[in-house]
Amino acid sequence: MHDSTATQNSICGGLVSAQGLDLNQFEPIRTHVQAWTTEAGTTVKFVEARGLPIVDVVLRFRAGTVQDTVHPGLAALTLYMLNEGSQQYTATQQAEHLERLGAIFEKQIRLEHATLSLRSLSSPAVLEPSLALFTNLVAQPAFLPSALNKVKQKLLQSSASSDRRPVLRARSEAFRHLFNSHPYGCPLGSTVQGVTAVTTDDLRTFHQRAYSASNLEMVVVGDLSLSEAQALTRQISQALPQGWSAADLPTVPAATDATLKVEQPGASSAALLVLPMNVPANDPEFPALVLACDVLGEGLESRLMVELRQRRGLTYGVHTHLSPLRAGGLFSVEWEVAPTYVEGSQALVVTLLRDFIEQGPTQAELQVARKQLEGKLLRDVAQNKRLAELLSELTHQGQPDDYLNTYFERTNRLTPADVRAAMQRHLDLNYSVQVSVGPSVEQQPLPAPDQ
Amino acid sequence: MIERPSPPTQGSTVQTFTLANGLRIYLREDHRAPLVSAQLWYHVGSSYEPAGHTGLSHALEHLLFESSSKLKSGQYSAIMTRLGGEPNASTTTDATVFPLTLPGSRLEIALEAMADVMASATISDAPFARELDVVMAERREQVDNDPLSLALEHHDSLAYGNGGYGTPIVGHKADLEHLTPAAARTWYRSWYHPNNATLAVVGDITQLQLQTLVTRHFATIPANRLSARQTATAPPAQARRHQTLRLPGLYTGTILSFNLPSQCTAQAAEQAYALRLLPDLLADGYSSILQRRLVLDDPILRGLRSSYEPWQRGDSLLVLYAYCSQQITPEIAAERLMLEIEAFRQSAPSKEDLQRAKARLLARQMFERDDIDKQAQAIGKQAACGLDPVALDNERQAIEAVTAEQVGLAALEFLTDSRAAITFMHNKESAHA
Repeated sequence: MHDSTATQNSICGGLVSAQGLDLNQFEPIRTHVQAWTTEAGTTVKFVEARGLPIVDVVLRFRAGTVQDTVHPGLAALTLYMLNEGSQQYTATQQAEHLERLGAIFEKQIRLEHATLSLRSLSSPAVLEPSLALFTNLVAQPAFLPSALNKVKQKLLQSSASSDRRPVLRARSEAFRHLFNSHPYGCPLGSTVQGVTAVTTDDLRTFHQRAYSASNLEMVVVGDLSLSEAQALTRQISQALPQGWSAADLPTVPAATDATLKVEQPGASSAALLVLPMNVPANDPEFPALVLACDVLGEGLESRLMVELRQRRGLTYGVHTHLSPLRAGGLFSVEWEVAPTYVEGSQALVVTLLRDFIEQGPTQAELQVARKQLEGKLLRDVAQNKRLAELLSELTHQGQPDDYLNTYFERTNRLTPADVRAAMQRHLDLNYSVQVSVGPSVEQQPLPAPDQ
Repeated sequence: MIERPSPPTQGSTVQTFTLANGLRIYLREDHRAPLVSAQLWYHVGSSYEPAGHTGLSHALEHLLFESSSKLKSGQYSAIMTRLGGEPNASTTTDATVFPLTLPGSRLEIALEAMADVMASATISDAPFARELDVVMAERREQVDNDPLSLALEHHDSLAYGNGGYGTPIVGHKADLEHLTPAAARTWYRSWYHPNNATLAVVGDITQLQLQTLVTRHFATIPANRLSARQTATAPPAQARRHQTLRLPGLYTGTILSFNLPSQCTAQAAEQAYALRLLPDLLADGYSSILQRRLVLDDPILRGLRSSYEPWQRGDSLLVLYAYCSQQITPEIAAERLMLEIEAFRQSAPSKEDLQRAKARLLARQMFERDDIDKQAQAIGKQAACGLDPVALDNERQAIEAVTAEQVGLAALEFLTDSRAAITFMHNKESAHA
């Protein structure tokens, strides 16, 4: 014990205050998450947090863009129409009432979910009317044709601008290629034809199903008691349509490799390398892949960052990311680079990835990755809003209720050999999809590394 | 060693003390989680830079952790990550900031590292060249390849004029190309002293504990004479300025700003707090005055937002970002915005609108308490522009007391045609689709 403290603290250079501290252990996380299912079938996670007079409510419906198989854009339009007026209030009244209370309403659509959140002060004079408005807005939308026309124009304009942004365009191309003919293959979630075709009747039908209480995962964090939280969640889930749940998606098609180049003007190029990684987030092997991803491309000291930024000054940032979806998933590396170094940097990233998959991380790299992930988790659970978002994500992933409090234990058990084995089982460079978006220019060899 | 230990002010939770070498420390205890956010704020940023040296403060920020007496190159970020923190740094117009949020038991190591960098950073030539490439890449990715950021850079220059707040924080490309390690070393020796820094701390620690740690690591660093500060002066209230930008991929829209005082330069507290309410009154939220008119009722805009930086040494800007609906030109949008703002100027806000703006601002301040980093950031920003974070700790009463008449007076004085700067943004269709 004494020896290991001495060794690890040599990591801390000449800093004397590290002496005698056990830097391998953080104080354990003890977040008390209470879970239940309402009579209407909504699953609930609740954390009582009395430190501030705030309540956060997150509603995550399995009403993402993968649900709109007939008219791509229907799921997004339905969500965006929710604050365009309800059966009781006009859009202006909804906004006026919520904003007068200082409450913040947010909405977000992704492939697998549509998420609405409310942040309100907890005093009953504010919380009760905020919740009533929020509930009314989600449960009883008006879906007026005039509003639909306006929202359609907005959606089309914002999709067009997303497609002009190099990083987003690169992601779209990768999804389109890897998930061709699968609902994941339309990552923007809308097409011009789909959006144009949607009617207010389509919205009503979609809402009646996808916004059902039984298709909802709810999270509540903040300044209220268990019984108050129970009443609140019952109230919301009873107000919603009843009885529908999204079915599982078909599995994704077999992957093929590709190199995709999109030519568009710009000062730099966006580069993206994607590997299929069909491992759900609650798979026992997933934590090893999270560690691998972190060692490779999370933070200034990660392998890719050291090689591309610290040693070669090629980029401001290179990042890796895991996207576990319910019926598939992928691992990605993203960076921007001067247009003339696109191919050189792509070859370098492939080489670094190949070496890493073959060799796995060192014990020291793994320890940094663990601490980095643990530190992030400690910061996340310390904030009500981030905790609520995290619980929403974990519920969606089907993680166990004690996930947070057992996290340190799980990652600490993993060895470099485990991480290496998981990568070798799930990451195959023969199926890589390379995307670049930027101007077409003559390619140059990379400059020599610094040291 | 402690020159001015002060008891907490009545009704305030921000405590302060100053070391003999001039380092000011502010603490707000927050024991909800076993974490501490510690941010070292140097009072130097892009608005301090002389002509031809834009980007110097930001480049120096990149170079600081190359090595110091106790740390080798790259060790700072490796150690802080290992301790559970996210090593980061940022440069603003008025400050260069090194924030860390860590488990309380690790705080002392972070303070020791920060002190070592303050006292003994060496900026050698080899990492300088490499890091300058990284800064160039940052500029290329985040400004030159992002049409909206590029438009904002042009707009700031139009609104503030050349120099001071009108220059980009990351620096002009031409200036970066001429940046030398010697200039970075001089900038470091000019400004990186305890008497030009503020340590903002929020989290699970008491003042006594913090005093012990800060004194142990910072007290031996000597104070140093500081160069005269360039005061960022307000541009004269001239005629309305405008420019047209056509860039591939740019949103069709209008950036409209008004030169107005910051919380530092406002003539009186009443005026300062009246100005704080303008973004919520005018443009933030679906039921703000301009969104009601131009996004909801007669939707010539598909989106509108605004910003006002209250914590700035010099005068500030109220900026409106308006995105046009189809068939609407940026010129038409700007004209309609100016008409609506003129109408607002001529009449005090309604009681309902004022109540709504106050409720939003006050609720947001409460919501921000959820994040200890944001709390420390608010303290640091206030200190970096020369205001006292202790006095500002509870602004609630001052905000509640703002009257419609005070807002009306501020609007009448500052939302004028001669203070307006407008950038018309057009999407330039490219040859390649």
